[in-house]
Amino acid sequence: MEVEIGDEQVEKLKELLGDTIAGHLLQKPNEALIAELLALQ
Amino acid sequence: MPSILTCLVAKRLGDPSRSTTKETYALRDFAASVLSLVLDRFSASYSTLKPRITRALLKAYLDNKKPFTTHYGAITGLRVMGREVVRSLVVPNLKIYGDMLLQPALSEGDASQRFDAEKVLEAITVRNLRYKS
Repeated sequence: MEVEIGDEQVEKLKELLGDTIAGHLLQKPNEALIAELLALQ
Repeated sequence: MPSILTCLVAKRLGDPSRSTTKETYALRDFAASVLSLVLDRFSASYSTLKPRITRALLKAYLDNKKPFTTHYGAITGLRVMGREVVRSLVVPNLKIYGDMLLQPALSEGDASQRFDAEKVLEAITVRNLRYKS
């Protein structure tokens, strides 16, 4: 599962995970995990 | 089961003079894999097993007085519980957990606290909140 990580996705991740965890996740993007997390919203 | 949970969420494991930090995290990972096997084998026969373990792990995860070592084991164990547990119990608490507990440790903690906080981040992100289907 892949996902395009644009500004909208970054904002959604920050909303879901907070700045600390989202920031860490985005340092080494794991597209499959990000797609799953965004799908949870 | 109590010994598995001890290996998963105990504050400290082993004798610090004889076991490395890496080894203690490996033991927590191994305990999670044993937990997974036990649940596969027995949760159909013991209907309260999974809810009871989930409750114990959630309590450890949400206790902000527990150390990161315990949180690491709790999150790793909750991941074993499956997608729905992660979706409904782990993810909704990540924002406040990261911003209230991880961030201060990462920015102001000593080397040991930073290492343990990084391990929790790893359990959450690098290692994926991976769960059984």
